[in-house]
Amino acid sequence: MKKAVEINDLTVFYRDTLALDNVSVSINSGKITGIIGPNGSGKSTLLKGILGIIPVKKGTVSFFGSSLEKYRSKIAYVPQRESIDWDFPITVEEVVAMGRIRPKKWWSRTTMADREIVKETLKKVQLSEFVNRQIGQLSGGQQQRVFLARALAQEAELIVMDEPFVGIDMASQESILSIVQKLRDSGKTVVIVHHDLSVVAEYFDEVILLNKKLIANGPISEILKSENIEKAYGMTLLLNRK
Amino acid sequence: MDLSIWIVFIGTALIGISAALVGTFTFLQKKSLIGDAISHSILPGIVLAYMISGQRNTLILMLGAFFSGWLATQQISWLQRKTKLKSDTIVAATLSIFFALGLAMLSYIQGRPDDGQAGLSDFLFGKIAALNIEDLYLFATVSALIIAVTFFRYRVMFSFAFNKEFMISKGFSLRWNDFILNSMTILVVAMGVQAVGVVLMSALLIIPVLTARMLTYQLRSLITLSLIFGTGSSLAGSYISILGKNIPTGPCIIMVLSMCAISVALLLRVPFKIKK
Repeated sequence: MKKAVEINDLTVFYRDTLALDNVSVSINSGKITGIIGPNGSGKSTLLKGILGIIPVKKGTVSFFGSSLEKYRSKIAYVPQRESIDWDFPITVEEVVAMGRIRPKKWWSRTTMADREIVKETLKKVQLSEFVNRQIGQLSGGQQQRVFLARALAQEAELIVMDEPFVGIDMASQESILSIVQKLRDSGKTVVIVHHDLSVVAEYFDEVILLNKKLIANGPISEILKSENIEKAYGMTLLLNRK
Repeated sequence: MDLSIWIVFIGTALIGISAALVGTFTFLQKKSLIGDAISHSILPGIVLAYMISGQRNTLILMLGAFFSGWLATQQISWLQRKTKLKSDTIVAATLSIFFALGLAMLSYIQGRPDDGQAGLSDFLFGKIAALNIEDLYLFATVSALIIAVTFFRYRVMFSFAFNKEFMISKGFSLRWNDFILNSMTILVVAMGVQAVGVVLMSALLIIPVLTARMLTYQLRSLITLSLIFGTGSSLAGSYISILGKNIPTGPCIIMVLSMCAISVALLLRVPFKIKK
């Protein structure tokens, strides 16, 4: 199977604290892969490290065989909701339009084609009626869909989402998952960071279990069977499963 | 009206426009305190430029201001990278150190026989009447530069302010973005201290946009309203300061600005609550 992301010996420090320890793992293309681990296990760090958002100490990452610089324009990143200032004076439409900004251009304007794409993606996530709302006025699920729409507007091949299911209702979770599945079915690769294996796990095709080190990875069915989860979490997670 | 009055009004308007524009983006990037640090830290640069050149030439003084302002922002970002100190601590310390140095140098100059000629103490509180026609050309050039950069880059600066991780993931350079915004802030401050003075300059950056923010959540109206508040108050303030002979320009402008802010807050009857 084609590898979307190949990570070799990735080691990341936050100042003096080791956050990721020699992680080598690959992510298959055309799949929904979950990166699962307890709090502070380095899941978000892994994402930020491979996308060059934070500096890495050691290790290499390639995307479909090419470097981050070459592949960057085909990656969409959906940040964690705590990292967003919801009082910021920005409208739904403006957030989604961010997906159309291109670097290396001095004059950054929204073209007619961009506007059209923004409109289309808002329709896809069912937020057309909220275009001119300030983002803080939306519900948690709607807010998450705005950021998903921004990722869609990028027309990316690889979509990377950091904890998209935190603080949202069931209906929004369903609608996000159905969009994610459509993306996968159209051949895109989706990577989702999530904190446990409850509920949403059944939507993942493959899972990477992380706790500073790589604990295990593989198809979800195998991972659920094995004792790996205990290694990552102890017993608590099993109890959370329904 | 005679020419000098026109110079004062055009100069003030240019300062008001530039400060409102740059202030909007420092506010959005949550760097209002950096504006304050920069305005205080350009003092040693101004005094040093005067000591070396021996004349009160605005261009030379601005170069000095730019140099020490740039040094201060470098010190701030270096300390942020290398130490575990919190950002506000670093900014406050930098501000005080540079300002203290500037004050010490200023006192030294004024103790010399050629004192009084310099009028450098005007930089503390601002004295717009000291402006001449050459200053005006310089101001116009700097303002044009700031307007042009804002026009071409506002989308990128705005997006960085909202979600910098996303912008980095798209391949934009955070350091380049910071550099541009810092440079614009330094330029505006170097220009604005003539009218408002070092001590109150940051108010001219912050208050227009915070007043505008109470009224709108849309970027375009935010910029437009900031421009109206910033420019209007600068003009009104300098007019008042010309009428009352001994009142420095800076406090007048900031008083007018504050009146606007307070009035808006009272009119909205939701004091300082930002509009969503």
